[in-house]
Amino acid sequence: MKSRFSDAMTLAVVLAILLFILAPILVLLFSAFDGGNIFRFPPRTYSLRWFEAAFNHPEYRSSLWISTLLGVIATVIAVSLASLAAFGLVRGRPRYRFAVEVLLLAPLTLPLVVWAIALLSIYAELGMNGTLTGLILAHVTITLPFAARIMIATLNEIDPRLEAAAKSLGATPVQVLRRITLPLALPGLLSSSAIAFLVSFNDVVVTTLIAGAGWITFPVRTFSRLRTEGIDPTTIAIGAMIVAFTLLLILVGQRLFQLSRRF
Amino acid sequence: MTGFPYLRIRSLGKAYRGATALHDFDLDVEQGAFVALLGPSGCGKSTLLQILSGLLEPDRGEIHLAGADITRLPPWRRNIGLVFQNYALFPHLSIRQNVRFGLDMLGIKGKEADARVDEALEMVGLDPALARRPSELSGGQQQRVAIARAIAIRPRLLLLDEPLSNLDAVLRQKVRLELRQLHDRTGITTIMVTHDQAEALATADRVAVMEAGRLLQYEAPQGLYRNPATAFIAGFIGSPAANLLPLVARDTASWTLPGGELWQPDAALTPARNGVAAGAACLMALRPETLALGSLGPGGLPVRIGAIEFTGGDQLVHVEAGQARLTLRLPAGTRVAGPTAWLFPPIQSPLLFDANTGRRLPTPH
Repeated sequence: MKSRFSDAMTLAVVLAILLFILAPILVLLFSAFDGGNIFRFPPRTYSLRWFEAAFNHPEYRSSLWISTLLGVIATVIAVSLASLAAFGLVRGRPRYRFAVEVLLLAPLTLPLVVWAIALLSIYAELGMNGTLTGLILAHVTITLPFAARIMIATLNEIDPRLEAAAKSLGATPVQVLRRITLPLALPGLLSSSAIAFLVSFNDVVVTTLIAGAGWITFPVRTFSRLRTEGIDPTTIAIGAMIVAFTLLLILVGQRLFQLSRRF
Repeated sequence: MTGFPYLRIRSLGKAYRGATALHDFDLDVEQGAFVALLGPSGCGKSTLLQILSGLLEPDRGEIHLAGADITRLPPWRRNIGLVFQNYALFPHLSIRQNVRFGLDMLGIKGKEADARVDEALEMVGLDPALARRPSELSGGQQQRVAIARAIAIRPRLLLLDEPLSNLDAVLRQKVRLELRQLHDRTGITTIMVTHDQAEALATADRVAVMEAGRLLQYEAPQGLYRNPATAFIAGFIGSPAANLLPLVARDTASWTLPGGELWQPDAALTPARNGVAAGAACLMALRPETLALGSLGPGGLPVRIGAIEFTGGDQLVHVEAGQARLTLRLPAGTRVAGPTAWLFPPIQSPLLFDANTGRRLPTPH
């Protein structure tokens, strides 16, 4: 029988680990509501002025817009390519499946800087540096391995006999895709989209080198401001909003997944 | 109608990565029949089922169903119901939606579709009002849903892949009877793949025994039991299966048992009477339930009594004849006295097979 003491100890350790992991986020969230002009913790006066400042800040606004646009386009392309690749690899079972899978996932093992240098030299040759097309392609390159990994795992989990059963019941390949494969792959599609978007949205290294001055994404902008002006309350407010947005997405996702299991 | 069966399979061939799964395979199935494809795993029976359903394309050969060539028809245009071993129910759909799926594909909607879903569920003994997900059902219920889904489209052919293998022993007995009754009620021509001979004998009108991609024998269960075409079939059919006793003809009137002992059988069982030349090796199939033990007498096979298993109404008596082991099934009340006894095989229609080819030796007249 477990003693009360060991239960209490377990709980204390778990709470300590959670606190260790989440404390920086909590500090960020609290300080965002501080009314002062410099970073302080704990906050002394509460105000929403830095949120207002963030929304009115033209550079941050345009950077957020660029990051979102870039993230969405790169995600759509990467997830589409990843799904097609996964379908071919899992359902087609080609002889070279293992080799292709390794190649697809290889970018995960190399430092991003190496990718950035490689892309930079190729794009320089093609005259694509600083263009939106170049930036989108670069983001597709870095997000594809994540999306492919999830889509391969997703399709591996879908029993091909379900598709075969649907065919025997009169479903054409298009109907099988629409009625069986897609609904079953939906959770995988959503998670691979989420991961791809986050990877794209987070990237500083590749974007800094490829984008040039024309397309400054949000993390690149934040990074450069942190270096020139130190910790700026506007940045903190934006950070807090991103945390809130991410939490919201996770909550909605959790809700949807459970719903998708019910219906 | 005569001369052209409902389902006609001709010289079907399929090779997988170099290995032959089906070899020049022929089979005819009459309309309304219940046929079992019986064989050990890897004999090609599942490959045949996949080719029939259209999920796999044969390398050569033809399949005709109801007079039309369906060899190259895609599965979704065949109207052939298929029940998978793992049932393959759509996990994201309810039970009714699963059963309705094929009707949707046929464009059958509304009240008619509802009625056909009810009918199919009732046919397999499920409550049509059952509002659950497939994952909430037991294995036996999932199988019923899978069968209902397959028969709801009123298929021209129903294919069952090892339908009983995922069920426990008690349920298996019950379901195999239900499968037969379902077939008799619906009249759907049914082909069942199985590796269990008892299952095949109990349910099917005709059993096609397969080995290594070939059809060995295609007959009614009784015929298969009485006249196995090869030693392999004799050693496979029956519970327990027939004993295969290796014998070498010593002269016209006696056999040498494994281990060198002599057996002088009844006149009906001598090598000369069965057309076996002196020195030739063969296998004699001895059905456990047709053997008798005695204390002495001419024609008996000298045996040593081994373990005895009590099975209820019967007892299984294990004996050794020379170096061969044999099993007898005797009524539970029979007294078995050891340590040695004489074994008496039946003298009518002995089952003798060539030891090299496994083929049945011609019966003497």
